[in-house]
Amino acid sequence: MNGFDDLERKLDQLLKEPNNSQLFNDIGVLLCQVKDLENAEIYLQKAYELNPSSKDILYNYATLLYLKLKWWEAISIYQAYSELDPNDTEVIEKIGDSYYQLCEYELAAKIYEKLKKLRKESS
Amino acid sequence: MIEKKKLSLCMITNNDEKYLFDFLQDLKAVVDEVIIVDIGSIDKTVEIAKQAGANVYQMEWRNSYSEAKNFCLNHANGRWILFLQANETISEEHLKEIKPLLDNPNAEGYFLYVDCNLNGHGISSPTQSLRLFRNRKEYRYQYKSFELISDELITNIKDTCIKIVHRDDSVLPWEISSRILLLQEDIIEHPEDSYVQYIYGIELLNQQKYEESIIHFQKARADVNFGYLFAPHLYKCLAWSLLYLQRYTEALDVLDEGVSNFSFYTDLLVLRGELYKQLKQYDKAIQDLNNCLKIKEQLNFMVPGPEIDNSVVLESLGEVHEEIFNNWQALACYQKAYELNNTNYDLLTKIDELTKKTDSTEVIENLLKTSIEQKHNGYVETAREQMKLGDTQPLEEIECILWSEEFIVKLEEWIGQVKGIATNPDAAVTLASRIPDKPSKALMNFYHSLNITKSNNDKSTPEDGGAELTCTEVHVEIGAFYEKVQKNNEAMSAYLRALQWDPQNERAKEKIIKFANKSPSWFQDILEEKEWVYEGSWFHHKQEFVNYIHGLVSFKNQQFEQAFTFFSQIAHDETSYPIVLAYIISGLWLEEKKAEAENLIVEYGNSIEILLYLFNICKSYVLYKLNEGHQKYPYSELIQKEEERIRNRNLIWTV
Repeated sequence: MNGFDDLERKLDQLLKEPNNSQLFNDIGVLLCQVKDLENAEIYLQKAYELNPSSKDILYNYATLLYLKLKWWEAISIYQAYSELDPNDTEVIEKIGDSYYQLCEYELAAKIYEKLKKLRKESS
Repeated sequence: MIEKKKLSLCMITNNDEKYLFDFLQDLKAVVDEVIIVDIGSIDKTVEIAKQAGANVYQMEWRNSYSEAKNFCLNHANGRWILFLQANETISEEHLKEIKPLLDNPNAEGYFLYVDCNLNGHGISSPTQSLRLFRNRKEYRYQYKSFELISDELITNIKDTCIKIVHRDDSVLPWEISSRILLLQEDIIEHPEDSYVQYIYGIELLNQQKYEESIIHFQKARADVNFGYLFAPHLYKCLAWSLLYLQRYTEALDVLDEGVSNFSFYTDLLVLRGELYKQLKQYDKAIQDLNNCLKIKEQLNFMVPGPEIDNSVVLESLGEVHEEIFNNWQALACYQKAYELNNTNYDLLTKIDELTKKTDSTEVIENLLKTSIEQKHNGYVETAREQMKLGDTQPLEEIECILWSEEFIVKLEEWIGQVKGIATNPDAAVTLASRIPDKPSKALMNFYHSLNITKSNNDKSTPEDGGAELTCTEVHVEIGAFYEKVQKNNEAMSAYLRALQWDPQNERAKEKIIKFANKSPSWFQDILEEKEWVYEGSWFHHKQEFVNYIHGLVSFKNQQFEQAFTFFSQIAHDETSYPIVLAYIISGLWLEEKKAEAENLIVEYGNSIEILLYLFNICKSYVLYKLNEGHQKYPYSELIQKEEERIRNRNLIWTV
């Protein structure tokens, strides 16, 4: 089954379950895979609105925003994720990198310092 | 018991204060005593000589070199004599070779060769090279000029490789003129003397009076004793004059007689080979030249030694083979000749032509490669000559270097013409920064939080606060960090930010171009879509910066028209415009559109600024090209050195 078949199936399913955040998330991810970032953002945003506490949705939505160079928005979603999983260093790193992209060096430095501590503790 | 002095240095001086002190210092360690006969100095020659410990004798000059020299010999106490002039010297290396020669019981004298490249006096008799000989009562000079110890008196003369070098050739023309005048007196006094006739013939040959020289050589030949040291040389000079005048039959007669009597003197075989070549008797020519090479292999200590070296013989043999279409053999001869004398650029031309005929262009490549590998003297010049030959195979790394050298020289000349400035590669000029490129504390905190191990410098550590790093350098280092952890998006942002601080930063430019060429669409997306936060003072608008970066990439890819399109979209009142204009002008210059380039410089008021940017842009272009060479030949020291040389090259302005 290729990505498009999968996407078609999910879209059919969505007609039956229009408030299923996981379906919106899955469709967003599939759209990302076919490089349709514009529509992917719409679906992932909807997924996030329907379920702002799903780690998967938060991660996927933030990653898409980062890919679309929307760093401020990405940071807020990554931070929401980070509150749910404060030890996920990959996400913290993304926040730090986003701040660098925005020339927010002081904030970027704080995040990277925090990252260093976390890594030290876990090692 | 006092041991007898071994070596006496004998000299005739006349106003030689200029070099005398140095001369005596050079010889001090080798000679046991110095005997000087001064023939009328009015400068400090005598004083200097005495201070140096020489035994100085003064005598009135009576128009005879023999008389002065014999007077000198009369006062010498050493077992050996070394005769030199004050304006001559012997290298330290060769001086060391003298002492062991004095212990040879079978030698009565040695030839020391006089290395004198005086224009118009290239031919001299080997007899003039007898400068080191035993001190015996019977060994006395005769003749007023070109004095000689008779061959009937002295035998067992050996050859050496020791060279006497003239410190100053300007004295020689005067000395030669005076000697020729005295020689004419010798001729009158000794009209039947073969040596005097031979010497006079040489002087006429030096004056290119071939007809007259032949007359005197023939007289000398009529009475010459084949046992005389100068006899083979006499035959050679005579044959040479006859050959020059295309009197081939007479020349052949002389050479036949010479070859049969002086079989070891291979110069005669070379001349006869040349003669046969002229007569189109190629088999005989090949035979003579091959014999010459064989004899030279066997006899290394013949006196006087032949003067024509093997590279000339091989070149001549190659020419003969070429005449009869033995291209491969000709090529082999030229190759061997070039190996022996790699400063003979004519050989390269011949080899090049033959490699084309024989479809073996790799030969010339290998030759040059060997020359480069062995770092022969003048190998870069050799390569330069090779480049001039035209459509040959690439000369690998040397080609990069020659191109780079010529490019920079042409550029400096052009800039000099445009602005009437002088260039000086030793001095540096830096352009004033627009605003201080000092990183903020926040940026440095971030930089340190990354625990970056710097790739390029060691100016900063987390402990010292990184006071010396510039914003550009910090962003470049951050870019390198991100690249290392494969975050290309972030790396590109960092390098682009470095360019905002310094639009001409080489490292950042190089990285950006690498990204652009690797993934053009990704690069385009990032550049166009990103909402830039501008740092530095060069760029204020997104489109300005985007156009600059696109222009830069096109320029580096040598798509100058495309670069011109991007750069032209940047308005004249933008801060970055002078650099942009410098790029446009550089592109025109690189495309050989010099007139257009000059017009643009004139149109723009602040030409000095533009020319400085232009020089840096073109320098960066050269470094980029050298880097391509470096990728191809990673172990090439030549390219590395050239890169360093170009990197350190700057313009200096004279007001």
